Amino acid sequence: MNKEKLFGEISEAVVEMEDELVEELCNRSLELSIPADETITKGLVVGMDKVGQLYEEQEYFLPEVLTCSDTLNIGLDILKPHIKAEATDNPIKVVIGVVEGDTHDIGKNLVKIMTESSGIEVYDLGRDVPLKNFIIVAEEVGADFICMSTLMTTTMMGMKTVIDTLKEKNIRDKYKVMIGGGPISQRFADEIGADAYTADANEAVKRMKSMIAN
Amino acid sequence: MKKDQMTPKERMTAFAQGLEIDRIPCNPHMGVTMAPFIGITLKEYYHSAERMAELEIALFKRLRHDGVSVSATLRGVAEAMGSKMYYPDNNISLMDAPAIKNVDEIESLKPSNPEKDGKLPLVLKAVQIIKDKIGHEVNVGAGLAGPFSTAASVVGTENLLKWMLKYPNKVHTLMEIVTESNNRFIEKAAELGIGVGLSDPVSSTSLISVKQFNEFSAPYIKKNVDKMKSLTGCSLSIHICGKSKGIWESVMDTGISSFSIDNVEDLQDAKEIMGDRITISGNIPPVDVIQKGTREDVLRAGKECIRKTYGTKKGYILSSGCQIPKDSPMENIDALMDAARIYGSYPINEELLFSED
Repeated sequence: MNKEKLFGEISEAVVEMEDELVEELCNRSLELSIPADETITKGLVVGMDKVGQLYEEQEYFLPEVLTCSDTLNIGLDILKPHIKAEATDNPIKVVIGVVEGDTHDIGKNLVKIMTESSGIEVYDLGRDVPLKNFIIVAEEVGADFICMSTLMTTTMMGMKTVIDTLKEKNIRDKYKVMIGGGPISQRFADEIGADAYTADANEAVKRMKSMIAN
Repeated sequence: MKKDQMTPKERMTAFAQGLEIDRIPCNPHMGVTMAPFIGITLKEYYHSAERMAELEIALFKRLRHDGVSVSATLRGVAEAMGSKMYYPDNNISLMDAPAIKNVDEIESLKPSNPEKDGKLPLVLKAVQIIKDKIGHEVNVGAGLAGPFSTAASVVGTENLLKWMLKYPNKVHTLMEIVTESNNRFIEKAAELGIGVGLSDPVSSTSLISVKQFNEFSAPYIKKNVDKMKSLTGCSLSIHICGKSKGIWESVMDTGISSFSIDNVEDLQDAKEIMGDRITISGNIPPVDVIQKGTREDVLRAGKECIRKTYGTKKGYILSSGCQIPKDSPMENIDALMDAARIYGSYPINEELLFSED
C-alpha cells in the first residue's frame, strides 16, 4: 500500500475512533518498514490535529476527544517501541498538573492530550499535586512551561504560590507559567502574574507554540 | 434602600402565583462553602445535620434570602451508591474512587436508600430541623445533583463520557438506576414538604453536545421532575454550570420550573429564550465579583442582572452565577441581597435601574 494512503487511513481511523483499524494499520506500517516516527507524525498526530479542529468547531465534544485519544494511544503503544533512538533536538518541554487540593483532571488531561499529540514533550504530574513538585520537576527536566489547572476556587491561590516561589528562587524567567480551569480567568492570571491563561486545550497548545516562537 | 415588607415565604408564595411582591427575590448559592461563617470547618459541616442546620439558620438570620436549602452535594447520591469520598479539613469534598470502574459492573449498581446511605440521612435531618425552626418564614429545600452529574460521580466523569459513545445502552441502564436513586430522595423530600433543586454541571455543553444532552441527560431530568410533580404538583429548579445556551429549549421541555444560569451565559439571552416559560435565576460572577470584588462591584453587577431581566414574564430571581466560593467577604453577600432591595423594589424605579453608573 502507498505510504501516504496508509497515513491518511490511520489519521481517519483516529478521527473515527476505530481502535481495531488503528491497531491493524499501525502494525501494517511496521511490516512495510515505514519508520515509526513518520507514521506517528504523518498518521496519528495528523488525525488528532483534525480531532482538535473538530472540537474547536464544536463538531466534537469532550466524549469524542477522550475516545479519539484512547485510539491514538493504541497506535502510539504499537509504534513507540520502534522509534529509532535519535532524540529530536530541543523539543518543547511542559510540566503539567492539577494543583494541590483538587482531583478534577479532565481539563488537564485534555491539555496533555492536545499538547502531546502536537509533538511537545509532556511531564504529567497528575492531580492533587504538591505545589513544590511543579518546580522540582521543571528544574529536573529543564522545562519551558509550567502548566497548572484547577476547578476549585479553594485551590486557585496555590498557583500564585508557585509563581511566588519561582520569584523567590530567582528563576521566574526560566519558565512560562500557564494556568487554566473552571474558575480561572484572564483577570486572575494577570493578578497572580501568570504568563498566559487560555479557555480551552487547543488554545493552550497554540499559545505555547506562539510563545516559544517569540 | 427599602426594607423588606414581606417574609421570604410570603414573597415566594406570591411570586409563584404571579401576584404582587415587595422586591425581586434574591437567593445566593451558598451551603458548605459558608461553614466558616459559624466558625466550623467544612469537614465538620459535612458530618453533622445539626451543623448544617445551624449554618443555614445563621445565614438566614443575617441575609433574609428567599430560600434556604441543604445540598446533598454533587457527589452525595453517588456516595450513597458506593463511591468513596475524601473530606479534607477545610475544602469541599473530593471523589476518591468511583463506585464502579468497569462498564460491566453497571448492572450490579443499586439505587440508594436516602434514609440509610451515605450522608443523605443527615441532609434530610438537617432540612427537618431548619423547617421546624424557620420554616414559617422561608421556604426550605434540598439540593441534589442532576442524574447525569450523579452518574459521572458513580463511574468517573471520563468513563461516563467515553462509555456514552462506546456502550450507549449500558449508560442508559446506569441512568435509569441513578434516576431512581434521585427519585427515592425526591419521595422523602415530598414527604417533608420541601422543594428540590438540581445542580447539573456535567450536563453543560462545555462538556457534552446538545445531542448527547438530549439523549443521556434530559430524559432523566424529566423523570425526576415528573416524580416531584406527581407527588406534590410542584416542579424542580435546576442550575447548570458553564455553557448551556444550546440546551435551554430542551431543559425547559423537561418541565423544570426555574433555571439558574452560570455567568458565562447572558441573562438577556435567557430572558428572550426562556423568560416566557420559566423563571430565570442568576448570575453575578462568583469569583471575580463576589469573592474578589468590592461592595460596589457587587451592587453594579446586581443592577446589571436586574436590568437585563427587567419585565421577564415568569419572573427573575437575583443570584450568584454559581456557588459562592469559600472565603468570600460576608459584606459582599450582604451587597448581593441589597442589590435586590435597591434596584429590585417594586414598583421598580426605572430611572435608577437604567441610569449609567
